[in-house]
Amino acid sequence: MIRDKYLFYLLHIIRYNGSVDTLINFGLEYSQITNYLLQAIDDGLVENKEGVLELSNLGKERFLHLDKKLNPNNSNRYLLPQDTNKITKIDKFEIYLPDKTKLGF
Amino acid sequence: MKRYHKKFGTLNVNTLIKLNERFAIQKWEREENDLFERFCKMLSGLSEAQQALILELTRDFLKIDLATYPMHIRSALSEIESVDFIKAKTVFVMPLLQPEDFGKSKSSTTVAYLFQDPGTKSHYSIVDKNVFIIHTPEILSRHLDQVNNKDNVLLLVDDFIGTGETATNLLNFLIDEIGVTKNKIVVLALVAQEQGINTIESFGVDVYYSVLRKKGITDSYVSPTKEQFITLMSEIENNLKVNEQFRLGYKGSESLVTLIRTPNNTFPVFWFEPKLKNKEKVTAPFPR
Repeated sequence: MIRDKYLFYLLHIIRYNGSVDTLINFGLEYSQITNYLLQAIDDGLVENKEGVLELSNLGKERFLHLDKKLNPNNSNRYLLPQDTNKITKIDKFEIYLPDKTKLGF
Repeated sequence: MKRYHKKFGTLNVNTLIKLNERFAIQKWEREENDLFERFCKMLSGLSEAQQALILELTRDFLKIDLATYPMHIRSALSEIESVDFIKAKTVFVMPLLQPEDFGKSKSSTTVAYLFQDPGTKSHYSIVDKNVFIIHTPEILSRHLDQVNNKDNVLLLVDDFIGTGETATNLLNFLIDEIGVTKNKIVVLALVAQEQGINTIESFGVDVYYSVLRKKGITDSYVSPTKEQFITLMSEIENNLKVNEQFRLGYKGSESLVTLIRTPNNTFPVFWFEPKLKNKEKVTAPFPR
């Protein structure tokens, strides 16, 4: 049984950006997240379409239900903290050069 | 000038499920030595294309646990066709080590020790023979006349043969310094890479093994995939700042193997854990 909070974020991740970092930052382990994913697939909330996970209709319904239940003020509906993009605080006089290997151009 | 790096890597749900499928196919326990977590942490430091490469190579990754060593020894013994070995009355078993490493605790000493295992001793190829384990070149020198006797053989054993460099050094030492007759020597390994087998056989010494391995990319994929994979792996190794001699595994061995200890012939991304400046500690699934 997955706690509502984790299930909400899990479904949110599958629906929007796919990165599991949010759940890692909650203190979950990769193995636990995998178990939750397998559980969600078993429960018919998530479909594995040739290696790409997508919410089923039931999953979309559950996601909206959990969203209303957990986020009555609607604040978390579309935004999740993007810890992936956090970097060390930069001094205002520091010149920032991104890692050239990480640039997309 | 400082460079700033992301505090966290990124791992996608799809990658997580694919990795879980690989674990299931390989029959690896996710919880064993935190292997799944270590694998995920390694993957999270890579780009999506690099992650896909590692997932692809993981299909062919060979993991041999200590518990299965006796089975692999028996399997290698079953392969022996050497007439000298078959006719021998006594087999002297010696760990295959660099001459300067005798006396140290190495995986080859474990393999030699396992010749005392009842399952190994009762194997049909040696059940009628006397088996003596020789731990050092000094003891070998004392028994040299017996080893060189026409009724006996010297069996050099190891769990892994990569480039064949260790075997070459030991064979030169045993033949030139100790005075062992070359055709008395037979090599046995649990896992052997093609390159190492060729090197040892070029000495005129027979090699027997349980599992034969080829290079993980060069011998397993065709162009242009092969070149794309080598480029991706080189990118990963650049980021890890892998020493030149370990690029694509020791002297380019391209191995995908872990045993009691992971050989340095395996691609470094699977075992190398450098401490890089300004970065989180790098985690490898099979650290040495």
